[in-house]
Amino acid sequence: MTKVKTRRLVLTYMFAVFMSILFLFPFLWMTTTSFKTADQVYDNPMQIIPNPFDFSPYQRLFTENNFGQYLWNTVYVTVLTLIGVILSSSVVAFGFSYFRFPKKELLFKILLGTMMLPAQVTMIPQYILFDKLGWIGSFKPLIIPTFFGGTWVIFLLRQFFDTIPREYSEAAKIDGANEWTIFTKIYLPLAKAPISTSVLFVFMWTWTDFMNPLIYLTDDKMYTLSIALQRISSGARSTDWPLMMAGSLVMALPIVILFFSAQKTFINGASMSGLKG
Amino acid sequence: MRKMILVLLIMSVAVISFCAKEVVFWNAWGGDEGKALDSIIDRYNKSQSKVYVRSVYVPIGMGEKIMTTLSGSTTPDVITVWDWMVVPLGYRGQIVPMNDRLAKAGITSSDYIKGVWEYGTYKGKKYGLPTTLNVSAFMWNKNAFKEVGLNPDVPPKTIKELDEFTDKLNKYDKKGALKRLGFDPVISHIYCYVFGGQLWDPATNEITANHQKNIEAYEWLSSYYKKVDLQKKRIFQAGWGDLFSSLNPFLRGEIAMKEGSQWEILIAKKYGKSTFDYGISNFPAPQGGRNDVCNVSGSFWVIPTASKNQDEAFEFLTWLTADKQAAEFAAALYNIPPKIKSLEDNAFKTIVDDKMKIYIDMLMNGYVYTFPMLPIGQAYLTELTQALMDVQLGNKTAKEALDYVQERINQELKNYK
Amino acid sequence: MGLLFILPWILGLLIFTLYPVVASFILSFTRTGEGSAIKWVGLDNYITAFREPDFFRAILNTLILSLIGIPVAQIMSLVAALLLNVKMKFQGVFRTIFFLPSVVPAVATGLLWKWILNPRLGPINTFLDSIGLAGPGWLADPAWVKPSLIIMSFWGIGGTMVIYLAGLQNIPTEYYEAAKLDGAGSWACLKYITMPMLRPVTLFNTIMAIITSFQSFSNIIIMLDMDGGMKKAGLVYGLYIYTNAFRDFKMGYSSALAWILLAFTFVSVMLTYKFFNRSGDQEVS
Repeated sequence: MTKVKTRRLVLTYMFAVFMSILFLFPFLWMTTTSFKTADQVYDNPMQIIPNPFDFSPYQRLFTENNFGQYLWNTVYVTVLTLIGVILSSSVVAFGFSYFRFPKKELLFKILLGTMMLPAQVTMIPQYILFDKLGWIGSFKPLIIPTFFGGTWVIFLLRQFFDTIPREYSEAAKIDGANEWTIFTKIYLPLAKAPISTSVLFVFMWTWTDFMNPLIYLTDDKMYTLSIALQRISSGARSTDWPLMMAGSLVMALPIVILFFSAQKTFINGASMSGLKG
Repeated sequence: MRKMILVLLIMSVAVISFCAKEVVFWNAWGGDEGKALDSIIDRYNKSQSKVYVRSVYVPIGMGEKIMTTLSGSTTPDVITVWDWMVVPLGYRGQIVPMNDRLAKAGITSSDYIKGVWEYGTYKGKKYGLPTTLNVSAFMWNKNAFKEVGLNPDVPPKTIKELDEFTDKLNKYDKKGALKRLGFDPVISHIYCYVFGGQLWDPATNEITANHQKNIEAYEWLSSYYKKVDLQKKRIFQAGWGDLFSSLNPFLRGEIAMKEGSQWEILIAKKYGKSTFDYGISNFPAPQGGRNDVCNVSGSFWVIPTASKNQDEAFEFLTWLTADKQAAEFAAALYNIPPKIKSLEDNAFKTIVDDKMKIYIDMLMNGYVYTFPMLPIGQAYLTELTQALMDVQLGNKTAKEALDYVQERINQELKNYK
Repeated sequence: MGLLFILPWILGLLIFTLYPVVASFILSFTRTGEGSAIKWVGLDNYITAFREPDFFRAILNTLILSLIGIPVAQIMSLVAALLLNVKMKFQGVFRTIFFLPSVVPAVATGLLWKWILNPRLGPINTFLDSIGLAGPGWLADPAWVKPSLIIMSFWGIGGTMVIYLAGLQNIPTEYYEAAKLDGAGSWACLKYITMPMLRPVTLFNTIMAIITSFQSFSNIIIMLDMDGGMKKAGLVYGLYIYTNAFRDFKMGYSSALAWILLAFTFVSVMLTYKFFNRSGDQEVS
């Protein structure tokens, strides 16, 4: 029995290591490129480890390319978006999952439907709408709509809420809990994993979103990191590879850190078994 | 006393900035080119107190940004767009015709290099001013010519010679993979004009995709690709590096003859080996064709209809496109300024050498054309590219393919009558 | 009461979504004329679509990519999630590594893969060459464009994997303990506990994969070109909408295309729902 277990664990490790190499390889290339000078990038044959190491791309990000300002703008938009989307979506998802009301499934189909129309054709009318509201050139079009729920998060959380056994809430009801209490005391604590997943994805999408900031912001000083990165890649005729890769990595780092902490909530069974008594 | 002066100074600055109207300008260039343009604009801001130009970086080619912004009520006052966007935006009423303002300012076609003035014009309305020009010429690698026993100083003059040279210059390794491509035609419509054809008849205002000479050009282009095997060429081509680097395939001798723009002079200077030697000339042409074809493209400055400062925007544009500024900006981009007098300006002359002179000469004395600017965006170009592909793959004859383009684009154009 | 909870979304729908959706629907029956005039053309845009060879080519390409890419990617991310749910050392590190590719900005990813798949200089073909094999032309060969795109998409399974991982946390450990007492092996546990319990998550992942796969195009512009590469082998539906809207300035036509896509996606999603519900019933009975 234990032999089988050990063998399986070894196999798992081998697979994980093998896949990790495949998955890490391009990342490694990005990292080494970010420490090269522009000329070193074109060395033939390619040098895996840069010689000498050049730290200037990272320096240039923050001096010439104003990454500090853009970083702050991106943090601002992302944090507010996170608050907006997670708060509103979890409430809405609970509404869709817990209650029975007329036309519920039709409304849910409409919710799914709104994701099916590609942004290319709603972009201009959407812009005209925000223009009429006088929001162009501010962060408002990026932030305010997020307080009305994010479709993706609503859908994800509903799928999870649906799996929560009714008995839990029935029991709470007998103890005199109202719907809001059931939501905050039972559903939310049970949905730690999907909520941290949602936080992760919303963070990632907002952090790297290019099109919305590009369309709605009109001032250089309000731009976000993704636009700054675009400027590096398409600005001059030749791509400044080290700068580009350094920028990409700086941009990716917060997401990686967030992921590393979020995945800790993915520890099997902890959430539900605790509530059994 | 000193304090007083300081206070006065601050006040006057405040008053000036209060009075100055802000003109928002979209700078489409990042990097050094963008910085060069911004410093030119700074000079304008310092030279007068009526208008303050605020330059905002907006990447060119971002159709989404341009089209959404133009549909709103608050737009910038000057934007940079690709040449093919000018007429579609003008036709849709999103940018303003400049005819009256240009006439009033006394800016006329004679200020511009012959032919250039008409670009960006549709049904008599002129919608924008060209920023700088990009010109294509025939380039050949002298080292490769020497290697195969050709006279390095004599480029092919006729299509027959070009074919012979190509055969000599194509080089394969032992496995039969390409090592050097003799000739690489990319902008296929250049050869329509080289053969004596045209894509557009200015006399009748009709497209002429299936012009007899265009068909001949397409037949020749596809015969050329039958020789090298399209698939082999694609794989070879995938290994070519960034044009703006030392991996540039022409600099590395992976292409022997090709179309090249004037900025490639800079690339060759910057990244080419000291032994690398190349020549620039007119395109070789068949009998009855044109041996002085010069293809021009570029970007434009336009004024959105919704701009609230159109007069100030135009005034700024007249300054920005004045001979000296046009010369400076062209030098920063290693492009050619669109105005005759800018060619003589010292700012531009700093980049003029023997090779650049050939481009300028072609532009001044050659058969200059640009891709027809129609309200249908890039549909015509896309169809022509597709047609060439069909001919090369043997799906259609050149005549069938071009007849189809003619019919199809005419059909499209009917929607815009 | 339930309506009160979903009120934020309903308000958002009415304020922010309704107008753009209705506007694009109306636009799909129009064509822009000279000046800012908009001409009503009835069903013209829809009829035109069904006469365009590119329309069918785009649908076919999208379907091929989705029908092969989605199931394989789902299975791969599920397997990865199951493996990385096993208690082991460096679990967090491995999970992070699997997720890494998903955080690389799209521009960088595209350029990176262009180099990896380069038939002459790329590491894959260089490796194949060194062991005496002739590598394929990848993106330079129309026959290999779709396989290349599908392979690329596997690199991004980290996102889906995370959602499966989250799903696995919702399965009470008691279920497994009870099954083990009954003498069930790992395979039986997977089949009778894990898979049925994961059904809502699988459904979510599949539906989202369909919706995104039907619309995606930006990676193709970076990897190939606006036409979808040679022989238009990579011309997907999203790209077809995009080029019509922003390169050829045909907003009316591209709106019609978008609404055709919506109908198509809706049917596919509803079929997926049906399929999942039916296969669920069977397992229960």
